Amino acid sequence: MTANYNCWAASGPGWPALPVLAAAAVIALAGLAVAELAPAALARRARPADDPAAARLDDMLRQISARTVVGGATALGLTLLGTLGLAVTNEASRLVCSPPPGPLLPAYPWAAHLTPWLQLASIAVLVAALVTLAACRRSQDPRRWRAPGETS
Amino acid sequence: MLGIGPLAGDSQLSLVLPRALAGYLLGLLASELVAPHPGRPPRRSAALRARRSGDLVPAVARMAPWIVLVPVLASPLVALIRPAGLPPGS
Repeated sequence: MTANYNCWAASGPGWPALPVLAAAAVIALAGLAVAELAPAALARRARPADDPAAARLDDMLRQISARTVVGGATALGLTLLGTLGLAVTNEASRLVCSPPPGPLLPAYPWAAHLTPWLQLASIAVLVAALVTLAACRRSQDPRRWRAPGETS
Repeated sequence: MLGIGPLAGDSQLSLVLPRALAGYLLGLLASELVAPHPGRPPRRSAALRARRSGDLVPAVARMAPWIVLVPVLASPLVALIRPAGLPPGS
Protein backbone atom coordinates (compact mmCIF):
# COMPACT_ATOMS: atom_id res chain seq x y z
CA MET A 1 0.00 0.00 0.00
CA THR A 2 1.45 3.38 -1.03
CA ALA A 3 0.55 6.80 0.30
CA ASN A 4 -1.03 9.29 -2.05
CA TYR A 5 1.70 11.79 -2.88
CA ASN A 6 0.80 15.17 -4.39
CA CYS A 7 3.32 17.89 -5.05
CA TRP A 8 2.99 21.23 -6.78
CA ALA A 9 5.85 23.59 -7.51
CA ALA A 10 5.58 26.83 -9.45
CA SER A 11 7.49 26.97 -12.71
CA GLY A 12 9.79 29.92 -13.18
CA PRO A 13 10.83 31.85 -16.28
CA GLY A 14 13.66 29.36 -16.79
CA TRP A 15 17.40 29.45 -16.46
CA PRO A 16 19.03 31.93 -18.88
CA ALA A 17 19.34 30.14 -22.22
CA LEU A 18 22.65 29.70 -24.02
CA PRO A 19 21.68 32.00 -26.98
CA VAL A 20 20.84 34.78 -24.53
CA LEU A 21 24.08 34.32 -22.63
CA ALA A 22 26.09 34.08 -25.84
CA ALA A 23 24.46 37.28 -27.08
CA ALA A 24 25.42 39.00 -23.82
CA ALA A 25 29.01 37.83 -24.32
CA VAL A 26 29.03 39.15 -27.90
CA ILE A 27 27.69 42.51 -26.70
CA ALA A 28 30.39 42.58 -24.01
CA LEU A 29 33.04 41.81 -26.62
CA ALA A 30 31.74 44.64 -28.81
CA GLY A 31 31.79 47.03 -25.86
CA LEU A 32 35.34 46.00 -25.03
CA ALA A 33 36.43 46.55 -28.63
CA VAL A 34 34.86 50.01 -28.75
CA ALA A 35 36.41 50.89 -25.38
CA GLU A 36 39.85 50.08 -26.78
CA LEU A 37 39.55 51.30 -30.36
CA ALA A 38 37.73 54.61 -29.90
CA PRO A 39 40.21 56.24 -27.44
CA ALA A 40 43.11 55.05 -29.59
CA ALA A 41 41.51 56.63 -32.66
CA LEU A 42 40.91 59.83 -30.70
CA ALA A 43 44.56 59.98 -29.64
CA ARG A 44 45.76 59.51 -33.22
CA ARG A 45 43.57 62.25 -34.66
CA ALA A 46 45.44 65.33 -35.90
CA ARG A 47 45.47 68.30 -33.55
CA PRO A 48 44.85 71.84 -34.81
CA ALA A 49 47.83 74.11 -34.28
CA ASP A 50 46.62 77.45 -35.67
CA ASP A 51 44.97 78.67 -32.52
CA PRO A 52 45.82 77.69 -28.91
CA ALA A 53 42.17 78.11 -27.93
CA ALA A 54 41.07 75.80 -30.72
CA ALA A 55 43.72 73.27 -29.69
CA ARG A 56 42.51 73.47 -26.08
CA LEU A 57 38.93 72.96 -27.20
CA ASP A 58 40.01 70.02 -29.34
CA ASP A 59 41.73 68.44 -26.33
CA MET A 60 38.61 68.93 -24.25
CA LEU A 61 36.38 67.34 -26.88
CA ARG A 62 38.71 64.36 -27.14
CA GLN A 63 38.62 63.88 -23.39
CA ILE A 64 34.83 64.13 -23.39
CA SER A 65 34.57 61.45 -26.07
CA ALA A 66 37.12 59.22 -24.37
CA ARG A 67 35.37 59.49 -21.01
CA THR A 68 32.02 58.80 -22.63
CA VAL A 69 33.35 55.67 -24.31
CA VAL A 70 35.13 54.32 -21.24
CA GLY A 71 32.30 55.23 -18.89
CA GLY A 72 29.68 53.88 -21.29
CA ALA A 73 31.53 50.60 -21.70
CA THR A 74 31.88 50.27 -17.93
CA ALA A 75 28.21 51.04 -17.42
CA LEU A 76 27.32 48.54 -20.15
CA GLY A 77 29.31 45.83 -18.41
CA LEU A 78 27.73 46.63 -15.06
CA THR A 79 24.28 46.57 -16.66
CA LEU A 80 24.92 43.18 -18.26
CA LEU A 81 26.24 41.78 -14.99
CA GLY A 82 23.25 43.13 -13.06
CA THR A 83 20.78 41.81 -15.61
CA LEU A 84 22.39 38.37 -15.57
CA GLY A 85 22.30 38.40 -11.79
CA LEU A 86 18.60 39.23 -11.74
CA ALA A 87 17.85 36.59 -14.37
CA VAL A 88 19.67 33.95 -12.34
CA THR A 89 18.08 35.09 -9.07
CA ASN A 90 14.55 34.45 -10.31
CA GLU A 91 15.35 30.87 -11.22
CA ALA A 92 17.82 30.11 -8.43
CA SER A 93 15.06 30.42 -5.84
CA ARG A 94 12.80 27.92 -7.66
CA LEU A 95 11.78 24.76 -5.83
CA VAL A 96 11.12 21.34 -7.34
CA CYS A 97 9.33 18.28 -6.07
CA SER A 98 11.48 15.71 -4.39
CA PRO A 99 11.03 11.95 -4.73
CA PRO A 100 8.07 10.99 -2.50
CA PRO A 101 7.71 11.57 0.30
CA GLY A 102 9.61 14.76 1.02
CA PRO A 103 9.61 18.52 1.04
CA LEU A 104 10.29 20.73 -1.98
CA LEU A 105 13.92 20.94 -2.96
CA PRO A 106 15.78 23.84 -4.62
CA ALA A 107 16.09 23.29 -8.36
CA TYR A 108 19.60 24.73 -8.33
CA PRO A 109 21.10 23.89 -4.90
CA TRP A 110 24.38 25.67 -5.70
CA ALA A 111 22.67 28.86 -6.84
CA ALA A 112 20.09 28.70 -4.05
CA HIS A 113 22.82 29.53 -1.56
CA LEU A 114 23.34 32.82 -3.38
CA THR A 115 19.74 34.01 -3.44
CA PRO A 116 19.79 35.90 -0.10
CA TRP A 117 22.19 38.45 -1.52
CA LEU A 118 22.24 37.89 -5.29
CA GLN A 119 19.18 40.04 -5.99
CA LEU A 120 20.46 42.86 -3.80
CA ALA A 121 23.91 42.65 -5.39
CA SER A 122 22.40 42.71 -8.89
CA ILE A 123 20.36 45.81 -8.12
CA ALA A 124 23.44 47.44 -6.56
CA VAL A 125 25.41 46.71 -9.74
CA LEU A 126 22.65 48.30 -11.85
CA VAL A 127 22.69 51.37 -9.62
CA ALA A 128 26.49 51.47 -9.99
CA ALA A 129 26.00 51.51 -13.77
CA LEU A 130 23.75 54.55 -13.48
CA VAL A 131 26.20 56.26 -11.12
CA THR A 132 29.05 55.58 -13.53
CA LEU A 133 27.07 57.06 -16.38
CA ALA A 134 26.12 60.11 -14.31
CA ALA A 135 29.73 60.60 -13.21
CA CYS A 136 30.90 60.62 -16.82
CA ARG A 137 28.24 63.16 -17.72
CA ARG A 138 29.21 65.34 -14.77
CA SER A 139 32.87 65.33 -15.71
CA GLN A 140 31.90 66.48 -19.20
CA ASP A 141 30.70 69.84 -17.91
CA PRO A 142 33.13 72.36 -19.50
CA ARG A 143 32.95 74.47 -16.35
CA ARG A 144 34.58 71.59 -14.47
CA TRP A 145 37.19 70.87 -17.09
CA ARG A 146 40.81 71.73 -16.38
CA ALA A 147 43.72 71.63 -18.75
CA PRO A 148 46.50 69.18 -17.88
CA GLY A 149 48.80 70.77 -15.32
CA GLU A 150 46.21 73.29 -14.16
CA THR A 151 45.92 73.12 -10.38
CA SER A 152 42.80 74.83 -9.01
CA MET B 1 18.91 40.03 -23.05
CA LEU B 2 17.99 43.13 -25.04
CA GLY B 3 14.75 41.94 -26.59
CA ILE B 4 15.89 41.55 -30.18
CA GLY B 5 16.26 38.42 -32.29
CA PRO B 6 17.49 35.47 -30.24
CA LEU B 7 17.69 37.81 -27.26
CA ALA B 8 13.91 38.02 -27.02
CA GLY B 9 13.51 34.60 -25.46
CA ASP B 10 13.24 35.95 -21.94
CA SER B 11 9.97 37.65 -21.09
CA GLN B 12 10.66 38.66 -17.49
CA LEU B 13 9.13 42.04 -16.80
CA SER B 14 11.67 42.68 -14.04
CA LEU B 15 14.42 42.78 -16.66
CA VAL B 16 12.80 45.39 -18.87
CA LEU B 17 14.62 48.35 -17.31
CA PRO B 18 18.07 46.69 -17.30
CA ARG B 19 17.52 45.69 -20.93
CA ALA B 20 16.56 49.24 -21.84
CA LEU B 21 19.64 50.57 -20.06
CA ALA B 22 21.87 48.06 -21.84
CA GLY B 23 20.36 49.07 -25.18
CA TYR B 24 20.87 52.74 -24.42
CA LEU B 25 24.52 52.16 -23.47
CA LEU B 26 25.11 50.10 -26.59
CA GLY B 27 23.73 52.97 -28.67
CA LEU B 28 25.90 55.41 -26.74
CA LEU B 29 29.03 53.45 -27.58
CA ALA B 30 28.01 53.06 -31.20
CA SER B 31 27.34 56.79 -31.52
CA GLU B 32 30.79 57.64 -30.18
CA LEU B 33 32.37 55.18 -32.59
CA VAL B 34 30.62 56.53 -35.67
CA ALA B 35 30.56 60.20 -34.65
CA PRO B 36 31.61 62.44 -37.55
CA HIS B 37 35.14 63.69 -37.15
CA PRO B 38 36.05 67.25 -38.08
CA GLY B 39 37.90 67.72 -41.30
CA ARG B 40 41.65 67.72 -41.52
CA PRO B 41 42.99 70.91 -39.94
CA PRO B 42 44.86 73.31 -42.21
CA ARG B 43 48.14 72.72 -40.41
CA ARG B 44 49.39 69.86 -38.31
CA SER B 45 51.22 70.44 -35.07
CA ALA B 46 54.54 68.90 -34.28
CA ALA B 47 54.33 66.61 -31.29
CA LEU B 48 57.29 66.06 -28.99
CA ARG B 49 55.92 62.70 -27.96
CA ALA B 50 53.43 60.28 -29.38
CA ARG B 51 49.91 60.73 -28.09
CA ARG B 52 48.33 57.71 -26.47
CA SER B 53 44.84 56.93 -25.30
CA GLY B 54 46.22 57.09 -21.74
CA ASP B 55 46.60 60.84 -22.22
CA LEU B 56 42.83 61.21 -22.56
CA VAL B 57 41.59 59.10 -19.66
CA PRO B 58 43.39 57.80 -16.55
CA ALA B 59 44.77 54.29 -16.68
CA VAL B 60 42.47 53.22 -13.86
CA ALA B 61 39.42 54.31 -15.84
CA ARG B 62 40.67 52.42 -18.90
CA MET B 63 40.91 49.25 -16.83
CA ALA B 64 37.31 49.49 -15.64
CA PRO B 65 35.66 48.17 -18.87
CA TRP B 66 37.98 45.15 -18.77
CA ILE B 67 37.14 44.44 -15.13
CA VAL B 68 33.37 44.41 -15.70
CA LEU B 69 33.15 43.10 -19.28
CA VAL B 70 35.52 40.12 -19.07
CA PRO B 71 33.24 38.28 -16.57
CA VAL B 72 30.34 38.81 -18.98
CA LEU B 73 32.42 37.13 -21.71
CA ALA B 74 32.38 34.02 -19.53
CA SER B 75 28.62 34.18 -18.98
CA PRO B 76 27.80 31.34 -21.47
CA LEU B 77 29.32 29.01 -18.88
CA VAL B 78 26.27 29.74 -16.71
CA ALA B 79 24.20 27.71 -19.19
CA LEU B 80 26.14 24.60 -18.15
CA ILE B 81 24.50 24.67 -14.72
CA ARG B 82 21.74 22.04 -14.72
CA PRO B 83 18.79 21.66 -12.35
CA ALA B 84 19.10 19.10 -9.59
CA GLY B 85 18.37 15.58 -10.77
CA LEU B 86 18.84 16.32 -14.45
CA PRO B 87 21.92 14.93 -16.17
CA PRO B 88 23.97 17.26 -18.42
CA GLY B 89 22.53 17.55 -21.90
CA SER B 90 18.96 16.79 -20.90
